[in-house]
Amino acid sequence: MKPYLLAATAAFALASLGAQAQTTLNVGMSAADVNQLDPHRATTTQDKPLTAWVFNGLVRFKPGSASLEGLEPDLAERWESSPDKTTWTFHLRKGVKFHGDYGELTADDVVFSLKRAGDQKSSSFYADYAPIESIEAVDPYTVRIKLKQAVPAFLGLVTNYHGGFVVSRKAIEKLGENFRLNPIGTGPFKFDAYKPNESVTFTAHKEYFRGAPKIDRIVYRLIPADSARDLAFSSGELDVVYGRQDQKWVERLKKEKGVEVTVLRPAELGLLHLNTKMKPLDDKRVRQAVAHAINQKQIVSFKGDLTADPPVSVVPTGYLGTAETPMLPHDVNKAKALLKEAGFTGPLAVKSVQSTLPSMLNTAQILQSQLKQAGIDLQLEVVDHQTFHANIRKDLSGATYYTAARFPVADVYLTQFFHSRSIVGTPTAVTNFSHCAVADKEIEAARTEPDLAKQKELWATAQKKIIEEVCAVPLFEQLQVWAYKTNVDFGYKLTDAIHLGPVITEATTKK
Amino acid sequence: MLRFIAKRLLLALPTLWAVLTLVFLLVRVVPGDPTIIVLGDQASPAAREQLRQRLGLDKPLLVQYGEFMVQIAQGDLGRSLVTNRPISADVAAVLPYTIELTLAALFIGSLIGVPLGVVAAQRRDGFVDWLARIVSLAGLSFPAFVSGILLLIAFAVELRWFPVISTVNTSDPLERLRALALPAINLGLIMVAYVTRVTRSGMLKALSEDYVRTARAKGLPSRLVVWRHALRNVLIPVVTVIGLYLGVLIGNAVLTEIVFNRPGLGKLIVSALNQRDYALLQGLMVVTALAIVFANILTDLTYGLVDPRVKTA
Amino acid sequence: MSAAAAVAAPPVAIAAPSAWKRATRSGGLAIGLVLVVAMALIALLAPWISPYDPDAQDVIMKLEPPSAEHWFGTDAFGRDVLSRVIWGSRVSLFVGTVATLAGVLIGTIIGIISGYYGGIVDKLITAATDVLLSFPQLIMGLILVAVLGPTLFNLILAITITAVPAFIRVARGSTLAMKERDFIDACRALGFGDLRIMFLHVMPNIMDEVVVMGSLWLAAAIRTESTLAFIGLGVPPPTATWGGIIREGFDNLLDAPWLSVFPSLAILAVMIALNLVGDGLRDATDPRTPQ
Repeated sequence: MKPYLLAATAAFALASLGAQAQTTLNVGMSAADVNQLDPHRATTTQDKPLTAWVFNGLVRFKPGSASLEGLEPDLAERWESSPDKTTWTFHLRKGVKFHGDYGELTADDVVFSLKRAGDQKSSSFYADYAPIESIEAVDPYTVRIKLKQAVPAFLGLVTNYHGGFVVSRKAIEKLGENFRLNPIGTGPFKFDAYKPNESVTFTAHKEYFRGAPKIDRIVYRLIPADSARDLAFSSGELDVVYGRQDQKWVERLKKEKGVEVTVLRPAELGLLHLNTKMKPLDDKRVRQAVAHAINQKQIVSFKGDLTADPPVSVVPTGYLGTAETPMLPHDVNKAKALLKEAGFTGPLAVKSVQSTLPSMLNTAQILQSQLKQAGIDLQLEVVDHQTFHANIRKDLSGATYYTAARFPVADVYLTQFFHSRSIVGTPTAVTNFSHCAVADKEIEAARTEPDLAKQKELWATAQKKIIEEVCAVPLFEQLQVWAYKTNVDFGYKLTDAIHLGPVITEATTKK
Repeated sequence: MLRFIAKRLLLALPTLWAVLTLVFLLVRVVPGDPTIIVLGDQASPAAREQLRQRLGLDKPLLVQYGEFMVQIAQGDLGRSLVTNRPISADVAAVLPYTIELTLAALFIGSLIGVPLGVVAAQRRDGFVDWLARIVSLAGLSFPAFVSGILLLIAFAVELRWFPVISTVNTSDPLERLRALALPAINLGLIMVAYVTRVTRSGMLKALSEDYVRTARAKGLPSRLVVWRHALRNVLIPVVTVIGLYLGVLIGNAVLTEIVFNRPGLGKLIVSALNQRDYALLQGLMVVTALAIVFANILTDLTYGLVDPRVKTA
Repeated sequence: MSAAAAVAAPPVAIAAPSAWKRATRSGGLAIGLVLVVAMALIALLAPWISPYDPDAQDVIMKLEPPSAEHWFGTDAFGRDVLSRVIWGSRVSLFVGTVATLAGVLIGTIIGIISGYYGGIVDKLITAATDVLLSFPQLIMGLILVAVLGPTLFNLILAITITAVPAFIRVARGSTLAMKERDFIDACRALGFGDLRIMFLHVMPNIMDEVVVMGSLWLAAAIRTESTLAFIGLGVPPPTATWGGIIREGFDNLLDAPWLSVFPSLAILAVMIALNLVGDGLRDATDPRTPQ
């Protein structure tokens, strides 16, 4: 036998052996498609978990944690800051390789990434990076960041989250807009293929700096029909699955053999934003009536005690600066009395643009039924999800139901939803649907307040004012639900998930 | 025959043009645009405006329309606004799935529907007839997404004969067939109802025609009379119905594709509409309209095949 | 289509007494009519026969299986499914009937005109029909509802528009065949006007085909409402419709299959009823039915 033939046979044998030993992790997600794999743009539940598999930050949330307290080194080995906390110096790990042929990570990539994250042309999180004055590469392995003023949660901005993800400069320059669906990072898994409406595939990044991943391949399947996804999980075709945020679902899955169900934080806060510039909600008494008519406890019961919590404020629980703020209690008679006082007799129509997304529409139906008891007719204008996004930004909705999780610092939530600069329909619009402007002063003051205690106080005042003005009624907090087969070991304890889904790391295994 | 096909295609050009114009206008009336998908829901209004400019969505409608028509005339479907991938590549990726699913559904529909219709007509008002009618109607009553899940529960989870996700191993032809079975049955159920009904009513008519009576009187075996002579006359309306419902089938395939996690033309169209990917939607409608034109040509050719009296000229 | 038309039924006059006899002999028409009347009554009497308020939510009674109190169980909001199916029959039957009738009427009239006059009129109508038929129906419905907004009226409009081209084709084909018949020539010779010939002589004779297809369409229309709700747009809540109940139930299909199954069975009942009537009518108008 000729040597090359032998080699070919051997290679073939090895390849088939390798194919047998391949471990593929199949993950099922409840969405028709991914939108974004660019970490500086990814904001949806289906996109965010993927960013953490592909990219790293200078520092990182401990896998399975969502707390800013326990940050640990990631691309930066160590860092130091000036005594006034306005200059930060990061020392990068050496020999970190980007996926594919994009070479070694250097300070240049980090500078490029953070500048990109702070540019509104390329990032959705640019506002978070406004306090940065300059970013420079001192040498190929040192990055220095100067701030305009001290920022209490500054390290949060350079974590493996949102704008903190480090991308390859070469890749962005080469791929241009195609980077969006062909992401290049330094993480344990590299992007392999994207099939629209079907799946995204990742393969192990063998040169990952923490070691070669134990899982060879991840197939992220997009299965929007809950029942179909559940069945694929039951039949063993999926290993990890996004759960339905529903008590019955959790109870059923918990009964299945070899299945682990987890309920994860951070929660998404559901708010009913009330348009203070639109009749009849421009009357504060009407907004108070709406708040009195809403029964948070009942909403939580509908959603299920395991998967939903009562809200504590207009900012989600656990964010830096969230203050437990008293709300108007459920009191139908009070609501009716307020409406009467405002001069409304008979059913009062309130217009609400609503998405067809089943989870959102379900909540809207509960609200509709609760408001009806107080004589308020919540008229749902149900439109498809894109139209919903377009129309609520055109200021067409009176009462807008919106759930969101943001960077876990109160400033982001307060600014995006309640600062007057963010009012929809303006050039600086974000998601202030209520035209709320009562807490601008506190929100701004808190941003530059160097003293943490005073800053928290300012945020607390802002939350109190917003609730008193009834710009929004907090409804409930929605936890993330995931289930996985017990033969999957993430390599850490999965209790929280800042990226809204489990992080698959180099240590994750499937037996 | 080639001349006939060429002529029909040429005649279809104005139809295609009208379809495109209609799609072009309709999708632009729907609120929203692709920037929410491309940039995410938290992007700044300025970034959105910039993207609109880059995608050419800020140009006057007439200019956009002109550019689009010129491009199509050159045989170029263009690129998706959302993925920036060539639309022809996306279509090529899903077309085999759509064709195999549609053909399999038609096959199953005819395989069950025609015999059921014939037997029902023979045993008119008997037990078999009633059963056939009710069973075929059941296929029409359960929306495809419900029947799909019911099929999955029974045959994929309980019996484990078929996979739940039908795109895991598409390189192995046997596996591919196994994965195709349930979706094809699910889509075929709709077809069964239509085919059974048309066959039954056509058969009843045919059985009372003079030539069938004559054949019977001549002493030809009843089975031969029914299956050879009478059925031939039923096939034309059956073929018509199949051709006519191809559009229904492609549309209804969306539901089957979603439930069985299969790629397909229908699913891609719905997704393009949801993402406001105007370019992709327009490109897909060209393909769909062409497919339906082809189906019509095929239907007409089949007439000639099943009934030599019909000329295809 | 001309080929299909060639085998279309020859015209016959309706002979009432014997037709009735034939139809009732099989019992199908009678059963069908009884069912249709029963369903119409259920829809009309919904406020009195529905055991509960269809919109009343009850958090404790969430997703209860069928029981003595709730025959069809309860949904994810603790609402009584039987009551919702009863109330839903109002909207669903209304949507189905109006959309189908409108589709049949418009389609048949246009089809007859197209087939009767021929020439440029026929060419134009055929071209327009081809354009509409080039859209898969569900996609067409989806785009239309997205453009117009999901209200009950727009839903009916969208379903009607998708129905029209199919009926144009059927009516046109049958009319073409009819035109060649001697009795139409006779009508012309007698100096009858086009309108009179079209609607008094052609129309009655092609109705059997149209009616059979219409009976299939009505159920399809009701189902279309649920499929549209599934891929995007349905009647806004809290209005109960069969399609909406099926759609909402789908999310809980594995925990509470009754949610989707009962309204689907209701659609099946309507289909059986209509098809019995459709077949009965067809038989009644067909004198060659074996005795």
